Amino acid sequence: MDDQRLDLSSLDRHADPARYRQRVSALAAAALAPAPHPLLTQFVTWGRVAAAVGAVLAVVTWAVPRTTTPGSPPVASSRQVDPVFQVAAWARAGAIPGDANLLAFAGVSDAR
Amino acid sequence: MNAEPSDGDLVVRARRGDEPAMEALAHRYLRASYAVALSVLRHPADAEDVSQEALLTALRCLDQCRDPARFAAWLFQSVRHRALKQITHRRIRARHADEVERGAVVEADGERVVLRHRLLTALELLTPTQREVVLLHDLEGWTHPEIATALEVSEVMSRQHLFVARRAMREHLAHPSTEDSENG
Repeated sequence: MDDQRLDLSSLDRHADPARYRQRVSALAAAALAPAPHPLLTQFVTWGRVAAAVGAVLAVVTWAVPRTTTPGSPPVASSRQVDPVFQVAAWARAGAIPGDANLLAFAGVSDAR
Repeated sequence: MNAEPSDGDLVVRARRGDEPAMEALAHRYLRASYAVALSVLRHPADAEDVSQEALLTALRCLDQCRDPARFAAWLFQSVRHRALKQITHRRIRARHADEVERGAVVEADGERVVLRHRLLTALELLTPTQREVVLLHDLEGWTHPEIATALEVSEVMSRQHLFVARRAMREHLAHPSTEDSENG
Protein backbone atom coordinates (compact mmCIF):
# COMPACT_ATOMS: atom_id res chain seq x y z
CA MET A 1 0.00 0.00 0.00
CA ASP A 2 0.97 3.61 -0.59
CA ASP A 3 1.81 5.13 2.79
CA GLN A 4 3.11 8.46 1.57
CA ARG A 5 0.70 11.27 2.37
CA LEU A 6 -0.20 13.79 -0.28
CA ASP A 7 0.75 17.33 0.61
CA LEU A 8 -2.64 19.02 0.72
CA SER A 9 -1.55 21.87 2.95
CA SER A 10 -2.31 24.45 0.27
CA LEU A 11 -5.98 23.51 0.70
CA ASP A 12 -5.83 24.04 4.45
CA ARG A 13 -8.00 26.92 5.62
CA HIS A 14 -7.35 26.27 9.29
CA ALA A 15 -3.58 26.30 9.40
CA ASP A 16 -3.40 28.92 12.14
CA PRO A 17 -4.20 27.16 15.46
CA ALA A 18 -5.06 30.39 17.30
CA ARG A 19 -7.50 31.44 14.58
CA TYR A 20 -8.99 27.95 14.58
CA ARG A 21 -9.56 28.01 18.35
CA GLN A 22 -11.17 31.42 18.00
CA ARG A 23 -13.55 30.14 15.34
CA VAL A 24 -14.42 27.10 17.40
CA SER A 25 -15.23 29.26 20.42
CA ALA A 26 -17.33 31.61 18.32
CA LEU A 27 -19.18 28.68 16.81
CA ALA A 28 -19.92 27.09 20.18
CA ALA A 29 -21.09 30.41 21.57
CA ALA A 30 -23.32 31.00 18.56
CA ALA A 31 -24.77 27.50 18.92
CA LEU A 32 -25.68 28.19 22.54
CA ALA A 33 -27.12 31.63 21.84
CA PRO A 34 -30.89 31.64 21.51
CA ALA A 35 -31.85 31.19 17.88
CA PRO A 36 -34.53 33.44 16.37
CA HIS A 37 -38.01 32.09 16.92
CA PRO A 38 -39.01 29.87 13.99
CA LEU A 39 -42.37 31.61 13.70
CA LEU A 40 -40.65 34.97 13.37
CA THR A 41 -38.31 33.56 10.73
CA GLN A 42 -41.28 32.18 8.81
CA PHE A 43 -43.06 35.51 9.07
CA VAL A 44 -40.04 37.38 7.72
CA THR A 45 -39.60 34.90 4.87
CA TRP A 46 -43.24 34.88 3.80
CA GLY A 47 -43.56 38.61 4.44
CA ARG A 48 -40.96 39.24 1.78
CA VAL A 49 -42.79 37.01 -0.69
CA ALA A 50 -46.09 38.73 0.09
CA ALA A 51 -44.51 42.15 -0.39
CA ALA A 52 -43.08 41.09 -3.76
CA VAL A 53 -46.44 39.71 -4.93
CA GLY A 54 -48.18 42.89 -3.73
CA ALA A 55 -45.71 45.04 -5.65
CA VAL A 56 -46.31 43.06 -8.86
CA LEU A 57 -50.09 43.32 -8.44
CA ALA A 58 -49.84 47.05 -7.85
CA VAL A 59 -47.80 47.52 -11.02
CA VAL A 60 -50.23 45.40 -13.05
CA THR A 61 -53.23 47.26 -11.63
CA TRP A 62 -51.59 50.55 -12.54
CA ALA A 63 -50.40 49.52 -16.00
CA VAL A 64 -53.37 47.63 -17.45
CA PRO A 65 -55.81 50.58 -17.74
CA ARG A 66 -53.12 52.65 -19.45
CA THR A 67 -52.55 50.09 -22.14
CA THR A 68 -56.21 50.06 -23.26
CA THR A 69 -56.56 52.13 -26.43
CA PRO A 70 -59.18 54.86 -26.54
CA GLY A 71 -61.60 55.03 -29.45
CA SER A 72 -64.48 52.73 -30.13
CA PRO A 73 -65.75 51.02 -27.02
CA PRO A 74 -63.77 47.85 -26.59
CA VAL A 75 -65.85 44.72 -26.51
CA ALA A 76 -64.80 41.84 -24.40
CA SER A 77 -66.42 39.09 -22.50
CA SER A 78 -66.56 39.24 -18.74
CA ARG A 79 -64.28 36.22 -18.61
CA GLN A 80 -61.42 38.08 -20.28
CA VAL A 81 -61.57 41.58 -18.72
CA ASP A 82 -62.17 42.76 -15.21
CA PRO A 83 -65.54 44.64 -15.14
CA VAL A 84 -63.96 47.61 -13.39
CA PHE A 85 -61.37 48.05 -16.11
CA GLN A 86 -63.92 47.58 -18.86
CA VAL A 87 -66.32 50.20 -17.52
CA ALA A 88 -63.41 52.55 -16.78
CA ALA A 89 -62.18 52.19 -20.36
CA TRP A 90 -65.60 53.09 -21.73
CA ALA A 91 -65.82 56.04 -19.38
CA ARG A 92 -62.36 57.34 -20.35
CA ALA A 93 -63.12 56.98 -24.04
CA GLY A 94 -66.38 58.87 -23.52
CA ALA A 95 -68.16 56.18 -25.45
CA ILE A 96 -71.56 54.81 -24.69
CA PRO A 97 -71.59 51.07 -25.14
CA GLY A 98 -74.29 49.64 -27.31
CA ASP A 99 -76.76 47.00 -26.22
CA ALA A 100 -74.82 44.28 -27.96
CA ASN A 101 -71.65 45.33 -26.14
CA LEU A 102 -73.37 45.37 -22.79
CA LEU A 103 -74.93 41.96 -23.41
CA ALA A 104 -71.63 40.54 -24.55
CA PHE A 105 -69.94 42.09 -21.55
CA ALA A 106 -72.55 40.67 -19.19
CA GLY A 107 -71.95 37.27 -20.67
CA VAL A 108 -75.49 36.84 -21.98
CA SER A 109 -74.18 35.29 -25.15
CA ASP A 110 -72.55 32.57 -23.03
CA ALA A 111 -75.92 31.64 -21.64
CA ARG A 112 -77.21 30.65 -25.04
CA MET B 1 -7.95 9.80 21.38
CA ASN B 2 -8.67 7.15 24.04
CA ALA B 3 -8.80 9.59 26.95
CA GLU B 4 -11.14 11.92 25.13
CA PRO B 5 -14.88 11.65 25.63
CA SER B 6 -16.83 9.90 22.91
CA ASP B 7 -19.08 11.74 20.48
CA GLY B 8 -22.08 10.23 22.21
CA ASP B 9 -21.05 11.63 25.60
CA LEU B 10 -20.31 15.05 24.14
CA VAL B 11 -23.62 15.21 22.30
CA VAL B 12 -25.57 14.25 25.43
CA ARG B 13 -23.76 16.91 27.47
CA ALA B 14 -24.05 19.55 24.75
CA ARG B 15 -27.80 18.94 24.54
CA ARG B 16 -28.00 20.04 28.16
CA GLY B 17 -26.26 23.29 27.25
CA ASP B 18 -22.78 22.29 28.39
CA GLU B 19 -20.54 24.85 26.66
CA PRO B 20 -17.24 22.92 26.94
CA ALA B 21 -18.93 19.90 25.36
CA MET B 22 -20.28 22.08 22.57
CA GLU B 23 -16.83 23.53 22.03
CA ALA B 24 -15.24 20.09 22.04
CA LEU B 25 -17.62 18.94 19.31
CA ALA B 26 -16.94 22.06 17.27
CA HIS B 27 -13.20 21.62 17.74
CA ARG B 28 -13.36 17.99 16.72
CA TYR B 29 -15.50 18.47 13.63
CA LEU B 30 -14.96 21.93 12.13
CA ARG B 31 -11.92 20.85 10.15
CA ALA B 32 -13.47 17.54 9.16
CA SER B 33 -16.66 19.27 8.02
CA TYR B 34 -14.51 21.52 5.89
CA ALA B 35 -12.85 18.49 4.30
CA VAL B 36 -16.23 16.95 3.49
CA ALA B 37 -17.56 20.23 2.07
CA LEU B 38 -14.39 20.67 0.04
CA SER B 39 -14.77 17.18 -1.37
CA VAL B 40 -18.13 18.23 -2.81
CA LEU B 41 -17.47 21.86 -3.72
CA ARG B 42 -13.75 21.84 -4.61
CA HIS B 43 -13.71 25.50 -3.65
CA PRO B 44 -11.94 26.26 -0.35
CA ALA B 45 -13.68 29.53 0.50
CA ASP B 46 -17.16 28.17 -0.18
CA ALA B 47 -16.31 24.93 1.60
CA GLU B 48 -15.31 26.91 4.67
CA ASP B 49 -18.62 28.81 4.68
CA VAL B 50 -20.71 25.70 4.14
CA SER B 51 -18.89 23.69 6.80
CA GLN B 52 -19.36 26.42 9.40
CA GLU B 53 -23.04 26.86 8.61
CA ALA B 54 -23.66 23.12 8.68
CA LEU B 55 -21.82 22.63 11.95
CA LEU B 56 -23.58 25.56 13.59
CA THR B 57 -26.97 24.23 12.51
CA ALA B 58 -26.08 20.74 13.70
CA LEU B 59 -24.99 22.02 17.10
CA ARG B 60 -28.21 24.00 17.43
CA CYS B 61 -30.32 21.00 16.46
CA LEU B 62 -28.60 18.28 18.46
CA ASP B 63 -31.98 17.00 19.60
CA GLN B 64 -32.58 15.85 16.04
CA CYS B 65 -29.53 13.59 16.11
CA ARG B 66 -31.21 10.24 16.76
CA ASP B 67 -28.03 8.33 17.56
CA PRO B 68 -25.49 10.54 19.38
CA ALA B 69 -22.77 7.95 18.80
CA ARG B 70 -23.21 8.49 15.06
CA PHE B 71 -22.94 12.26 15.30
CA ALA B 72 -20.17 12.43 12.68
CA ALA B 73 -22.18 10.54 10.06
CA TRP B 74 -25.23 12.71 10.77
CA LEU B 75 -23.20 15.91 10.57
CA PHE B 76 -21.42 14.92 7.36
CA GLN B 77 -24.73 14.09 5.72
CA SER B 78 -25.87 17.61 6.48
CA VAL B 79 -22.60 19.09 5.19
CA ARG B 80 -22.93 17.17 1.91
CA HIS B 81 -26.53 18.26 1.52
CA ARG B 82 -25.67 21.91 2.03
CA ALA B 83 -22.71 21.70 -0.30
CA LEU B 84 -24.82 20.16 -3.05
CA LYS B 85 -27.43 22.87 -2.60
CA GLN B 86 -24.66 25.43 -2.90
CA ILE B 87 -23.55 23.92 -6.20
CA THR B 88 -27.06 24.07 -7.57
CA HIS B 89 -27.50 27.68 -6.64
CA ARG B 90 -24.17 29.16 -7.51
CA ARG B 91 -22.74 26.95 -10.24
CA ILE B 92 -19.51 26.58 -8.37
CA ARG B 93 -17.68 24.76 -11.13
CA ALA B 94 -17.78 27.76 -13.42
CA ARG B 95 -16.19 29.91 -10.78
CA HIS B 96 -13.11 27.82 -10.01
CA ALA B 97 -10.95 30.08 -12.12
CA ASP B 98 -12.15 33.15 -10.25
CA GLU B 99 -10.85 32.10 -6.89
CA VAL B 100 -7.79 34.30 -6.89
CA GLU B 101 -9.71 37.36 -8.08
CA ARG B 102 -12.37 36.83 -5.42
CA GLY B 103 -9.66 37.21 -2.81
CA ALA B 104 -10.59 34.03 -0.97
CA VAL B 105 -7.09 33.93 0.45
CA VAL B 106 -4.62 36.73 0.09
CA GLU B 107 -1.33 35.12 -0.74
CA ALA B 108 1.91 36.48 -1.99
CA ASP B 109 3.08 33.00 -2.93
CA GLY B 110 1.88 32.40 -6.47
CA GLU B 111 3.21 28.86 -6.51
CA ARG B 112 0.97 27.92 -3.66
CA VAL B 113 -2.06 29.20 -5.58
CA VAL B 114 -1.02 27.21 -8.63
CA LEU B 115 -0.53 24.09 -6.54
CA ARG B 116 -3.91 24.54 -4.93
CA HIS B 117 -5.55 24.88 -8.31
CA ARG B 118 -3.86 21.70 -9.51
CA LEU B 119 -4.92 19.82 -6.39
CA LEU B 120 -8.51 20.96 -6.82
CA THR B 121 -8.44 19.86 -10.44
CA ALA B 122 -6.99 16.52 -9.43
CA LEU B 123 -9.75 16.07 -6.86
CA GLU B 124 -12.30 16.28 -9.65
CA LEU B 125 -10.96 13.01 -11.02
CA LEU B 126 -12.07 11.16 -7.90
CA THR B 127 -15.41 9.84 -6.74
CA PRO B 128 -17.09 11.73 -3.88
CA THR B 129 -16.15 9.04 -1.34
CA GLN B 130 -12.54 8.94 -2.54
CA ARG B 131 -12.35 12.70 -2.15
CA GLU B 132 -13.72 12.57 1.37
CA VAL B 133 -11.31 9.81 2.37
CA VAL B 134 -8.22 11.45 0.94
CA LEU B 135 -9.08 14.84 2.44
CA LEU B 136 -9.95 13.47 5.86
CA HIS B 137 -6.82 11.33 5.91
CA ASP B 138 -4.17 13.44 4.26
CA LEU B 139 -5.46 16.92 5.07
CA GLU B 140 -7.08 16.41 8.46
CA GLY B 141 -4.98 13.50 9.69
CA TRP B 142 -7.85 11.15 10.50
CA THR B 143 -7.15 7.45 10.90
CA HIS B 144 -8.90 4.76 8.89
CA PRO B 145 -11.01 3.57 11.84
CA GLU B 146 -12.20 7.15 12.37
CA ILE B 147 -12.97 7.61 8.68
CA ALA B 148 -14.74 4.26 8.49
CA THR B 149 -17.03 5.21 11.39
CA ALA B 150 -17.83 8.67 10.10
CA LEU B 151 -18.39 7.68 6.48
CA GLU B 152 -20.02 4.38 7.40
CA VAL B 153 -17.71 2.27 5.25
CA SER B 154 -15.38 -0.55 6.24
CA GLU B 155 -11.76 0.16 7.13
CA VAL B 156 -10.69 -1.95 4.18
CA MET B 157 -12.76 0.20 1.85
CA SER B 158 -11.34 3.33 3.44
CA ARG B 159 -7.80 2.12 2.74
CA GLN B 160 -8.77 1.11 -0.77
CA HIS B 161 -10.31 4.51 -1.49
CA LEU B 162 -7.23 6.26 -0.17
CA PHE B 163 -4.92 4.13 -2.28
CA VAL B 164 -6.85 4.75 -5.48
CA ALA B 165 -7.29 8.44 -4.75
CA ARG B 166 -3.62 9.03 -4.03
CA ARG B 167 -2.54 7.18 -7.14
CA ALA B 168 -4.92 9.16 -9.37
CA MET B 169 -3.93 12.46 -7.84
CA ARG B 170 -0.19 11.76 -8.03
CA GLU B 171 -0.55 10.78 -11.65
CA HIS B 172 -2.42 13.98 -12.40
CA LEU B 173 0.04 16.15 -10.48
CA ALA B 174 2.99 14.51 -12.26
CA HIS B 175 1.42 14.96 -15.69
CA PRO B 176 -0.91 17.91 -15.61
CA SER B 177 -3.16 18.22 -18.64
CA THR B 178 -2.72 21.08 -21.11
CA GLU B 179 -5.88 22.78 -19.83
CA ASP B 180 -4.59 22.56 -16.29
CA SER B 181 -1.26 24.11 -17.24
CA GLU B 182 -3.01 26.93 -19.07
CA ASN B 183 -5.24 27.66 -16.10
CA GLY B 184 -2.38 27.42 -13.68
